[in-house]
Amino acid sequence: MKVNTQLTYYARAIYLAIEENPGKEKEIFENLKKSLGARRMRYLPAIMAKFFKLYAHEKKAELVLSSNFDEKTKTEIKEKLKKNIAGIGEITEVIDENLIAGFRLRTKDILIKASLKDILTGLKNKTYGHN
Amino acid sequence: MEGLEIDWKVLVGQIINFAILFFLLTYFVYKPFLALLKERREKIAEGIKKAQEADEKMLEIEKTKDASDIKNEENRKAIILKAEGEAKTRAGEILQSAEQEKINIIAKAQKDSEVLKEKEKENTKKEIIENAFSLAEKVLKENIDNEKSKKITAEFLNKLKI
Repeated sequence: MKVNTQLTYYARAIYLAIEENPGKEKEIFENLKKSLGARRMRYLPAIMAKFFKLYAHEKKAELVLSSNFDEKTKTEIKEKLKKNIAGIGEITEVIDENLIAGFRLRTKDILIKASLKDILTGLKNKTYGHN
Repeated sequence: MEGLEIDWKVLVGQIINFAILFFLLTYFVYKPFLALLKERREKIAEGIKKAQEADEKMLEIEKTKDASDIKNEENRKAIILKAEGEAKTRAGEILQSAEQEKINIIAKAQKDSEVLKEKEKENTKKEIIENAFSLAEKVLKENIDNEKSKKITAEFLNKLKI
């Protein structure tokens, strides 16, 4: 097996271990060091780089806003979201005026619909009897 | 009276001549003529007989033909009667089938009409809903400015709990 592929497997294994055992990051990294041993310790920076890249990719979130708010407001919104929703990494913004007001947040695992457009769509679906 | 005397020699000669002539005529003319007549008579009789036989045969044929005609007529009548019976039965069946078909068509038309009505109703309902929500969306878009949007976003964020 190629070294690069092996490093990717290590990075993914660490990521999954952290996901399944939140708060035990230190322990997980200690175990990684042990399993690498002195001989393969030189690969640790490469593994960590892959891990951070993977983490950023997996935790990446897209925030859809109804209006292009000022930077301060956007930062506040992002902070609040990060505070309330665990495991959110970098947040990118998109403007969609069709939302009317509110926002949507999309990550790999979740989609939060918090806009007037979504409320209207929900009401419309209820009227149709879809829900 | 000397000129009126019978010349016996001439008379005998005449008699002999007559006898010879008679014999010759009888043998060469009369007998063949009789034979011819007899043959002719036989042919005529045969012809008559054949004609009679033909008449008889014709009569027989006519009788047979008449019998055959009667039989044929009877058969024809029987066939016609049977055909009429079958036609009546078939007509009855066709009528019954047509009646059933009519009932089915009416039922299908009613069903189709109901389905169409229901579809129309559904379409109208859908149209009303779509229009109402489009209008609501338009009104909201027109009335919500940046500040209101910010406020609403903040409210959504405050309600957010995961």
